[in-house]
Amino acid sequence: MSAIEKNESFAGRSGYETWVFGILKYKILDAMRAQKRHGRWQPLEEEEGDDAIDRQFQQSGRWQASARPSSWGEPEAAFETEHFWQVFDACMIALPDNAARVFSLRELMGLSTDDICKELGIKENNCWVILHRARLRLRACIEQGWLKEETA
Amino acid sequence: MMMCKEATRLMSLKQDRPLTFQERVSLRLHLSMCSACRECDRQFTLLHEAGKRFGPEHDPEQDDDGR
Repeated sequence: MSAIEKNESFAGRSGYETWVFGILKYKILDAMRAQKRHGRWQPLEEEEGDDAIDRQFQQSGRWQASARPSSWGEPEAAFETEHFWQVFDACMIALPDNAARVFSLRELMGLSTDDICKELGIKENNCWVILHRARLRLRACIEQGWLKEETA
Repeated sequence: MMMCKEATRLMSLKQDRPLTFQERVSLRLHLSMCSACRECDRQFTLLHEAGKRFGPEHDPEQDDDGR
């Protein structure tokens, strides 16, 4: 992932973070502007059956053994690890566009789902579905990239 | 009985709006019996906290066509 390869040129977390956040913000703003130009939010192509999510659960709705969440330790300890942030950034960038947009507006920019829906012209229920999937994808991605690598 | 997938829906929802009484009760019941979901719940909360630290100060550029 290019976000990780380029990391060397950034001293410390804050420079790196600002850089990645800058990219994400542009992605989001571009998408929103395009959406405004065309007068509507692009259809949610990942709406129907999301494989990446379905793979985490069995038919019955229980976790797949391979996807069972494990402990990430104390949040404070994670936040102090540069590696955590690199994985977080890489996983954010790997999200499908719609998921990345809605998740960023909600969690990075702190907008309410009500505001996001007004801005994007989608139903609030849709927003919650997108966020649920985004979080499941992120948690799986981070767990793979972060924990498994640390113990490897 | 609520399954893990549905429980994760409520865990996610909880980060975006207060759960109803019924939602809270069924989530709590599930979490009391499922350690994997307890971890997932912590992870969603951690993601929420991470987002707050990651997404820094308000950028003025956001306002230029925001109305």
